[in-house]
Amino acid sequence: MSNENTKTYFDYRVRFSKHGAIRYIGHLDVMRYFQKVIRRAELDIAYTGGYSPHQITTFAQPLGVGIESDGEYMDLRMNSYISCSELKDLINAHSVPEIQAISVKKLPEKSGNAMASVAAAEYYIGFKEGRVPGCFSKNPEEITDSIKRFLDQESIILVKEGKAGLREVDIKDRIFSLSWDTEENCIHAIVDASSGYNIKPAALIELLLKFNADSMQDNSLMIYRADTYTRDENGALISMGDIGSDE
Amino acid sequence: MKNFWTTDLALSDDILMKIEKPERYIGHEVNAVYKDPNDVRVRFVMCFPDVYEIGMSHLGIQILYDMFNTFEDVWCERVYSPWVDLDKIMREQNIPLFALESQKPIKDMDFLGITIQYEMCYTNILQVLDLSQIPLLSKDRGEDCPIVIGGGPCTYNPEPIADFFDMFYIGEGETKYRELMDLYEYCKDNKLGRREFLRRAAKIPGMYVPSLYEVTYKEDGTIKAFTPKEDGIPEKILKEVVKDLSDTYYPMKPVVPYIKCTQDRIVLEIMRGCIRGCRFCQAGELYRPVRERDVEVLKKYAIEMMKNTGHEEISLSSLSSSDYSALPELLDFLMEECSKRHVNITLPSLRIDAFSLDVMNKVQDVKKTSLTFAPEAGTQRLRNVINKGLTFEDIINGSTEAFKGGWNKVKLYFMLGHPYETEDDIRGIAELANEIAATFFDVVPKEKRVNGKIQITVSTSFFVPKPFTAFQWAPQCTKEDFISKAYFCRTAITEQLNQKSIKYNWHDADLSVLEGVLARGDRRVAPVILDVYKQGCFFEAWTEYYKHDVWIEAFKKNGVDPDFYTTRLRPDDEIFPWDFLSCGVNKSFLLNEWHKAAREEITPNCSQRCSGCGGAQFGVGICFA
Repeated sequence: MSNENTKTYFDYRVRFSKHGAIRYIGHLDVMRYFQKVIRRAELDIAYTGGYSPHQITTFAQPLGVGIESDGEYMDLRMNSYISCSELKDLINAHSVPEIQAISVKKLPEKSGNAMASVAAAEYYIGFKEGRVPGCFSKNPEEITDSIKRFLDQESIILVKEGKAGLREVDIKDRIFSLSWDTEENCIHAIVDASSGYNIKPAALIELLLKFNADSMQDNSLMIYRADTYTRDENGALISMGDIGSDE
Repeated sequence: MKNFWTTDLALSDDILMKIEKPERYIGHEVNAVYKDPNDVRVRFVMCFPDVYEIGMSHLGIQILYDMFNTFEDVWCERVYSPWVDLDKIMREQNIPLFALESQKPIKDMDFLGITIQYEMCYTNILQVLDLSQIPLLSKDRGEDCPIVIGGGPCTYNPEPIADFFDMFYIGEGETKYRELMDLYEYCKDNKLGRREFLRRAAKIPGMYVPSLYEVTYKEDGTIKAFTPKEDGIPEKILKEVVKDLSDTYYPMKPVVPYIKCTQDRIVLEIMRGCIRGCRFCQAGELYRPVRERDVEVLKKYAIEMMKNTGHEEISLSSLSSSDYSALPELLDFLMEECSKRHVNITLPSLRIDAFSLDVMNKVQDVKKTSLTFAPEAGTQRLRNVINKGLTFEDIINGSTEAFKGGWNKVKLYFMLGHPYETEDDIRGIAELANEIAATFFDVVPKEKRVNGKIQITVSTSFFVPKPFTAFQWAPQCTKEDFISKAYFCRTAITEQLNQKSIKYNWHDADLSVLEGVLARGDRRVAPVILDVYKQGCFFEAWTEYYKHDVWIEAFKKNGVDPDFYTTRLRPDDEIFPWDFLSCGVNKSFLLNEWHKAAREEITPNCSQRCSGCGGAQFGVGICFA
């Protein structure tokens, strides 16, 4: 351990995408996938000590199966310096087109780990053809109005299934933004994604439909995570990819 | 939503979100090969008829996939058995089975190649054909159907499944596929049709086209004659052999699955064949002669494959790795290279001696791993019958060394039901296990024993005689015999002084009986397999899906007596269903081995002395070392 404390490491944050057929790959398999990318790219990754050392990587909020994203994050601890652009190129050269590094930042010495610092996630949520519920078949003004009324409720109760059974939580203050995107024809949402308070996009839509006395059809959503956010020193939401430098 | 990609997958999002492990069906893996269909002339789909995680772990398919895709005019893709959940949906919605890469229906391809590794997958072959919407019987297939070709160890008795295949490739796949592809393209260009293609293919060495042969039977049900129906079709088919293992195809860029597979590692095949000649072992005969891959070539492959896959583990593959001549050099090299890259080495089961213990000590955690011995029989007498050259002294000396080195787990593998087995031999299993435990207590002082214990696991499987072995004449035990042998073994173990240190496992007897019928069956077994499949049975290698009653029913219905194929002692001069094939080992050699077994006489291994099995006709390997 003493060795680890004195050694210098270089921490990087990789923002990556997950698209197309690869949206059916689960989170654990994505983690295993990156272990292999790192080996193929022959990156000078740091390993933990002990009898079965493993690569030091941290992933931000896991993405559900079936969801696409351009806002996934993985932190890497390297033994030696590498420029952000070189690291990005190496990862992409050894990865499939559906998973690509979008940007890489070198992290300042004391930044929280990727998982613990997640504050929010931004989603675009659309309905599949033929599965648009009645309340979303209306014109944009009416949809916008119904979202506004939804948000104006005194409380928005989500029933979460936890280890101790079902519990009710008020998520009103944790919906940071919710609106109808007229250009993309889908819902735009920024919601809490912090560990323990994560709001699943499908659960949010279900509440919204229930409020409109509507119900969700099976597998009717297309969900795209645009980004994952953390908070800056003033408590404002900033993209996790804005932490660190490009050097 | 422009950021939500549309996909070209054969299965809808609704299906993929509903089934278990959708990753099995989407392709897109690292190193999967994609070609433009307009640039190729032959579409080949390679199938392992079991679930993806099993099929993807198979080295043979990776070798052939790599080979085919080096052919510019061929695009080789993969397919595996859809799991029961997807199977049901595909039948309900009439979705044709598709290749993983292009996601296009298999019925539109040129070839469906099926590797047949174990008998219990026969019904899965029918599942794959059925889901592909290809007629199950070769005779019902038209010009628009792919050519269905089988390969792998079970094709050394292809007869029970001959009706389902258009042709078989007998032997090692690296040698003759180029010629076969050329012939196919020629026949296609000249519109010669499927029948003519098969007729011409049957003249390529190693190719067997069942429809061109006729079987007649004697009154007692045994085979009278097996003859070609046409002139120019060979009477005897000799297996194909790779002459130089260091100069052939090897998958330097194997496909890397997303999902965790049974073999989630690099597999380095160090040699083919085995010098040992155990009389029960089919692989030991089929892959003769022993051929080694050059150690320098293997070093290069290992590094290349580590770079191309990113796997965190590498394992060596062969039938008997301890017999590989450059094993110390290869392991030294791998240990150095792998530790640099944080890649683990998994060792194959090595003969336990000072060298292997030293290696195991270096690459594995002694506390976690166990020693493995496969004496296969409990007494020296019976080990002589089966020609297993592992002695009591080997086992006790190996264990002694290992216990000194800190090991305290031992696994022992045996078979019950060998020819000439007596109760003494079964009791010998218990006594050997007891002796190993006693050795532990002698060697390791009390204060050094972890939890004060030694764990010995004895596992027995039931012996099933296989074609092309010395025991192909042998009667197989009945189910009742098997079970009483297992009980006898269990009782004998409980009578031992150290019985508390010994755990006993045994296999399912029903499965072994059926495996016996399929292994030594003939063409008359095919309707039984077909019936069982039509009753909805497949995935029978998975015990939970094996339905014994359905098989018994199907045997009755088709007037097939399973005992005819299993428990009958075959006379020396009987014509076997597989006699028209040759794996290079002569029947006269095997018969002599069968007689020597009765006399408890051993035969030296290939490195000690040539016994003239016939393998030398290939002109390569240990026969000329």
